[in-house]
Amino acid sequence: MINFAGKVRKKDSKSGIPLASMPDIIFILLLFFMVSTVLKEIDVKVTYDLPETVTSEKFDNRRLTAWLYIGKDGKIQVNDMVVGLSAVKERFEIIRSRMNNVVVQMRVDKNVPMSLVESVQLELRKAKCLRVNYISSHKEKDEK
Amino acid sequence: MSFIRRRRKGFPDVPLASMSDIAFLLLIFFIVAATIDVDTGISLSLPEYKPNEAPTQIEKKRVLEVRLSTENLTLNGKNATLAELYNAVTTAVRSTTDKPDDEKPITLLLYQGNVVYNRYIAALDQIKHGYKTVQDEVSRKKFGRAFRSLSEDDRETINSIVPVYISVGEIKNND
Repeated sequence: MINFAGKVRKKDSKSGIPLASMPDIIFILLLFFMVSTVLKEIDVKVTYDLPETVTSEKFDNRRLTAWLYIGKDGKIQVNDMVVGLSAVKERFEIIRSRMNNVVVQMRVDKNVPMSLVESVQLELRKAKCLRVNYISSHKEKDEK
Repeated sequence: MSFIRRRRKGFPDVPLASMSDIAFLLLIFFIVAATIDVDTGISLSLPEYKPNEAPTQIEKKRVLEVRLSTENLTLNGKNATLAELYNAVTTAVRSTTDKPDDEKPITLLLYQGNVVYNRYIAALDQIKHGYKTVQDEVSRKKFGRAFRSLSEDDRETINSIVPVYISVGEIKNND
């Protein structure tokens, strides 16, 4: 290309993508994924739909926590294992021997009858695991 | 037409010094925007297991008795809706904030075994919601802030003014 002065214009080599900030970008991506990844997730073997509540406290105490699931078909899972009702007490005694002040996060399906929940809770009481949280999904506003 | 020499410059450089600032802003944005999965729900302390325990006697006027069956919900023997349950809890708790501890209301949530979990949680939710409402009111009056933004010590103070006494249990056949 020839300009007014008749000079041949040099091709500018500086207009490429700046590479100096590439490490920053990679670093940010790394940090982002580190933050958003949950390290230990339990393999859930039962299916459940959580109930909805208006009041919801946040539970982020992940270290002193045991998980208990009661699925649609009444299957009970304690941490990683599917167990029968009679084994619940034994499982929680083992858990409590490791963590004395354990909080049991209960994820129970909406349509499970309370008699089952009650008998599971009785086993929990026998194993002296008394702090329970009923996990629910948060409902923004009261529909009334 | 004048013949002024026009210097054509090359493509302007992007300033690189601010690139890391932009990168940091992005990082902060993502950290703020990413919701790390936190469980929410209702917490409850179960009573200790003592076989053949004699039931504790509580003054009748302290008790707000809620009975759940598959068809209806009764509040101290009268049919009620969930909204009425919430109102009743709020009123009872609000009127006893300046009373001594042994006159504060106890909410008793009793359910039949065939009631589904969802219904139980809905009732428990309204009861908790009632207590929370009053705790928030007292907190705003005393500290000028919402309950959840209080420090641990201040929460304790509110909890002693508005203690959450909820008792749950299944209705056995002979009840």
